[in-house]
Amino acid sequence: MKRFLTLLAVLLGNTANAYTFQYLYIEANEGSSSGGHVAVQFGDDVFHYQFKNGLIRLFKQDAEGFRFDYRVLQNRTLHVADVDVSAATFSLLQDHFKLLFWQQDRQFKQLQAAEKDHQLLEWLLHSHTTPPSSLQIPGYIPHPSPLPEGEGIFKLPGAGLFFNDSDFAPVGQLTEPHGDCQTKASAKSILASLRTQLALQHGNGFLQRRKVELTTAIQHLSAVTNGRLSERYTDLLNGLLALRVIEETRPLTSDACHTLTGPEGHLDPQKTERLNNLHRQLMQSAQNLAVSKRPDWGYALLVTMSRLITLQQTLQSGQWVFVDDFSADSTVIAAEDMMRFTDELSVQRKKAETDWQQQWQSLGNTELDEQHYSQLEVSANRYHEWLVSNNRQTLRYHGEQALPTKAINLPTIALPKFSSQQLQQALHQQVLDTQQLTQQLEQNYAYHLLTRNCVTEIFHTINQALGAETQQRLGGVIDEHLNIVPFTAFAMVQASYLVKHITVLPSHRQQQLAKQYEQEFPPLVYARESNVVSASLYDYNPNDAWFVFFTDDALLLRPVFGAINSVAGVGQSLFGLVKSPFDEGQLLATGMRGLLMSLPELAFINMRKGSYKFLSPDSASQENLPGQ
Amino acid sequence: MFVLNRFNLLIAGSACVLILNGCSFSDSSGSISDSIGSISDSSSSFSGGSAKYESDVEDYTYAYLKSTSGTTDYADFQKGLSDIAKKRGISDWESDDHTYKGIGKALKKARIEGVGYETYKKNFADSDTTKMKQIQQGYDSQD
Repeated sequence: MKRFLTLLAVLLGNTANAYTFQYLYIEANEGSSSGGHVAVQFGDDVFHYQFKNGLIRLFKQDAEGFRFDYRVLQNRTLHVADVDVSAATFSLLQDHFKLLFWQQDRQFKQLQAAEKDHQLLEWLLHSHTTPPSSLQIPGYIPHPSPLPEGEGIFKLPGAGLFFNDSDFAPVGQLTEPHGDCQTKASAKSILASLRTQLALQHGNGFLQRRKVELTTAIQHLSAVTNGRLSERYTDLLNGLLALRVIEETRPLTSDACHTLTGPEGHLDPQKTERLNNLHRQLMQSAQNLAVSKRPDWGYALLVTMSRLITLQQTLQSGQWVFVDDFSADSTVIAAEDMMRFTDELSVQRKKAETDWQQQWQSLGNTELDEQHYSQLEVSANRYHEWLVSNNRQTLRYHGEQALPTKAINLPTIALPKFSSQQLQQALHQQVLDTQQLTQQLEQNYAYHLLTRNCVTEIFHTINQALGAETQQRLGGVIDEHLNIVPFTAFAMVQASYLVKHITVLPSHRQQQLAKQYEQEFPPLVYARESNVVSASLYDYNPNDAWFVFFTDDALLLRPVFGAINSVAGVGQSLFGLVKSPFDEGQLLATGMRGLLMSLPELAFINMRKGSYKFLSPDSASQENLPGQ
Repeated sequence: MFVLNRFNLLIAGSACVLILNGCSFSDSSGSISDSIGSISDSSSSFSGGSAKYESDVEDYTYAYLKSTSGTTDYADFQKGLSDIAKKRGISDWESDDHTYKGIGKALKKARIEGVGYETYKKNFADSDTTKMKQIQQGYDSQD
């Protein structure tokens, strides 16, 4: 009775100004969240907790991307509970998730910065044999010791648009990359004009003064890091290089841009006018950035100058020239996969072409700002990548950046002036600070299978946001300590919160299967689609461990199918064992995973659904599009 | 019989582990995490356009204000703004009025008023009158 009255009160309170948030339960499948996953959605944003490096972190993703990822690529059915709440409750929950996300983001960035500082301090200490006086020469200085290896730890993003590593290496040690980006004339015209403007506004010696200012700032960097030394140092170096680009009227590197040849992308007077306006806008930005006080103005200036140069080249030649916006660690599809997934990839190629055409055709409709230009640049890069993949037989599939980041290794054109003693003290303090930071993060976010996982944290966050009013605002309180399994937690949400509606969004394969059942003789469809050998809706995805039967639509036969899938897992493991000296045990690990995933099926628990590697929203059916 | 019991135990055990293992692993790292997505993606990084960018700036600034005690580190704050703008394809965020409107909205949301508000406004805008106006616009646009 009490519960009924509470629900009634919530209902009456909410109808005045009803808002809805979604609680999402994502079914199990082989892969990273094999036991299923949960998330909450407020408007266009989905929040969910993910495991990363032993910690459980809050992630924010746009709803369209989230649903496409889980429902189509990972081929999982989604269960969506629409929870009715008042506008005030909706705001409280949404604001709390957002606040937590940004606070966590900052904390993890602090740790990342601290780790970079540690590496830099160690390297500086190790290479502290070269006399400081020789470290100020604006040119090549031999590395006293090799730079530490690491994932982008000592890279200068953006500098690679104008410089190669070979520009800072001894002659003959590094070779220049090859490409057909020829921008000498455009660079000369743009950068000379920028230099003139800067001289007019800030005096003739502006560039020289600014360079001295930056070099001095580098030399006087504080060894007491506060997690900012590496960042500050690379920012200042990027500033120095940006000024050098202007001073030397440096063209883009030979692999920093590409031209879209052919009849497409014709520039009519209206489009040309838009590009000219953007050109003026970017020129103004470049002048502002050269005197900006923001710490990373150098990177922004490098990007802006690179775009100015390609724009200039486009306007002069009448053919589209764009900066290459793929990152160095882009995922590349090999020739073998390109052959195997020809159908899926041809849909994507068509989509890239259509996107590019739509982008440049709509150019004349609205004023072009930097964000729109970035979008144009991205679509052009995608299309160009498909065009060149014909000859190259590889394709950069993943890794495009909204702003180009082409990087070079850290050039030692200027180094901070630290004594060995200062460095040792700073390193000692830095180690202590990092330890404290790491402990803090572990204390707050350490993953635990039973007590701190993606389910418990969602409920913990909801309860934290609403506090003592949770019952009153949601109709019930879900104890995060007692609800740790995605499947049962969803049932608890239905039972406890004021759920208005439940929607089941079938996985990609299930949806396609339903269509086939409508159009063909059902037993035939079942027989054909039940296994990977004859299925028309599934091509083997190398990310999936070997299996024979899909078990999501085979309740009664599930243990039998599971047994056969287990045998497939054993087979792959044995094959992997033989192959392990050559693939570092990768196939063996996949086979073992397959076996583990198939065992629950013996107990009627569905796991094996298969997944898709190269589907695009266009190749999925209209009804299957994310958000439907 | 003993073998069968052990087999059942193995199945039950693996089922439990899998059912309980209900968390996605994040495979995002470094620049890939900043990437727009796969080549098949329809520019999701740009979805929502300027409004989404402004909203991100507002949320980030609000979180920054709420979690910063004492002196505000403006350089650190600006680096965070650069990261948000970078994901949206904006390099010169200082020339984008949505940046300052978003900051203004966050100041209002954080209920910063009077002298405190004026100080923040001046510092975030680096005393630039146009930027201060944009912050004020964002501030006034909130109820």
